[in-house]
Amino acid sequence: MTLALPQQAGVPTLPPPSDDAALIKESLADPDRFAGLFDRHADEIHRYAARRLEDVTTADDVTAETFLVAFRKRARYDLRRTDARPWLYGIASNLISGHRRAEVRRLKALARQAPEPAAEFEERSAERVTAARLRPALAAALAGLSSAERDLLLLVAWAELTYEEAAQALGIPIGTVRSRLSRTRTKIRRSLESHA
Amino acid sequence: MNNDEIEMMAGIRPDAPPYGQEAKNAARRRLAAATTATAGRGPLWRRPYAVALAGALAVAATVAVTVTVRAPEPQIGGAEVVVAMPKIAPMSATEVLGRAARAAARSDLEPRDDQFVKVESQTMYGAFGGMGTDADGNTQTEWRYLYRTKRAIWQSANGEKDGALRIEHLEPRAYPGWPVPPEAHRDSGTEWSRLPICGKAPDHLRTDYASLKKLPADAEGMRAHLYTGERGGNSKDGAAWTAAGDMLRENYLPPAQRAALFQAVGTIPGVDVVRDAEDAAGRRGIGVGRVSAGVREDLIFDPDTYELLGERGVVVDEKTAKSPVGSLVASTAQLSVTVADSPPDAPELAADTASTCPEPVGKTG
Repeated sequence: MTLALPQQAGVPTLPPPSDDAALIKESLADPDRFAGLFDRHADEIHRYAARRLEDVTTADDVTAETFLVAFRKRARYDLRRTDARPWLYGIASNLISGHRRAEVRRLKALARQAPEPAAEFEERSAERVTAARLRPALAAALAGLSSAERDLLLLVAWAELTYEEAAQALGIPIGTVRSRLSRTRTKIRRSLESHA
Repeated sequence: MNNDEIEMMAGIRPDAPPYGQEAKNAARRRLAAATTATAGRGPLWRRPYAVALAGALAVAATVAVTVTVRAPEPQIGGAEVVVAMPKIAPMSATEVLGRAARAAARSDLEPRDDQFVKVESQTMYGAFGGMGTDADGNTQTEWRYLYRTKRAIWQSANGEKDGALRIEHLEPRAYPGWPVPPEAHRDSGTEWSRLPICGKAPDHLRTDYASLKKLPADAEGMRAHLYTGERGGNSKDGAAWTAAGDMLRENYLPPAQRAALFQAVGTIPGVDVVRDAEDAAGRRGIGVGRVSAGVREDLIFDPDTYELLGERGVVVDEKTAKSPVGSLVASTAQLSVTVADSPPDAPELAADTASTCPEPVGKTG
């Protein structure tokens, strides 16, 4: 009795054995292979989850769950993508959205961090102050975004995904990435102006 | 304001605490448990057809097992099934080879490339779950049950045309030693799925009739095939065992290759033979099996034709399998294998949008 996927998706060409797609493909026939994906990427996914969620135990859970979900969905993985990180980030983003309270606590904690003391109030302008000093305002702006906007923004700003990778992660066209980011920027700008 | 808002957001990126070794180990264990005992819950046709797998813990094969036969214990939603574990009487190599050589060609099928192989079967496998956490981060209670189905599958003889799968859900049963969870009843009725062909698999992984009939018809050649290519897994032997099952299950293997496979599978280290194994339809055959995660998994062969009658899983290690020794935790029967000109014309298949090949995402804006 083995895990049989009689209609498993084929691949046009065999990718090099070390890449993620190859590993995922092998895991269709031999599920144990999937643990290799965890060994490669668990630290990175955990880092992202821990940044977005206040409690490290929630980040632990999200990370564990991300790989369990990925395992269950592996038959649907697009084997042309050799790097599985965008896919894993997409799953993690969905799970993080399910932890709304922990995320809100994180944003509040970010906002609470006092801005660095700054004497020159008269010089206060968006161009001059550092991002660190704008921290509470930025955290408030972040909280004011929709979860789709926040997911995209933070994949780019915090996980440092390219637009292409973020598009893959969220399953949206890259054109949508650009327009959504542009709208998000405008929202943040307005939010900062109202805090200024 | 010219400052890039994205860069400003990057500037307030909080520090991430390191991934604690203990939490990391726990996560990896949970994943390993899921890969070893898969409870797939996605689109139905992708749900793992079986749950145990090769390449798992290499539990030494037991030579003989003494089992107390327990009376079935009635439980909510179904009775536990406990069977006596037959003594494993390894057949000598010559006996096995001799039998295979006599394998009679019975009702051979010769599907054309444009036709389909249709296999009807009855199955019972374990479903496992609840080892994860829900959206609020609460740990769920682990559950198990035995799900039962009647299946019919249509697969293109040359692997080029979309196939179809019909699943009729039968009443679930308790997994011996476990209560029946509410999840056991979430599937009911009959479901149809399209089985799309998404590109070609590498030759050594193909299991369509057209590629099977080209495989070697001798034991040595067939054994080499089972070990061909990178098949993954912790052990080459586990992968070879998996490959053998995949060629037989819901499939049609021509007589020459069938006899060769029967001989070859018996040479995989860790595999041995029981003379008398019973499938889900009560038919008795030769059980060729291997122990994985505390469960002896047998492929049951017709003693005359070496066709696959069915599969069976019996607990041999209570601690590892978390179920009493002798428990029947998998039982299937392949009821018919025939040739069809096309998959049925079911309206459900036309409406099945879930079973599609992955789409490339995000080419250009």
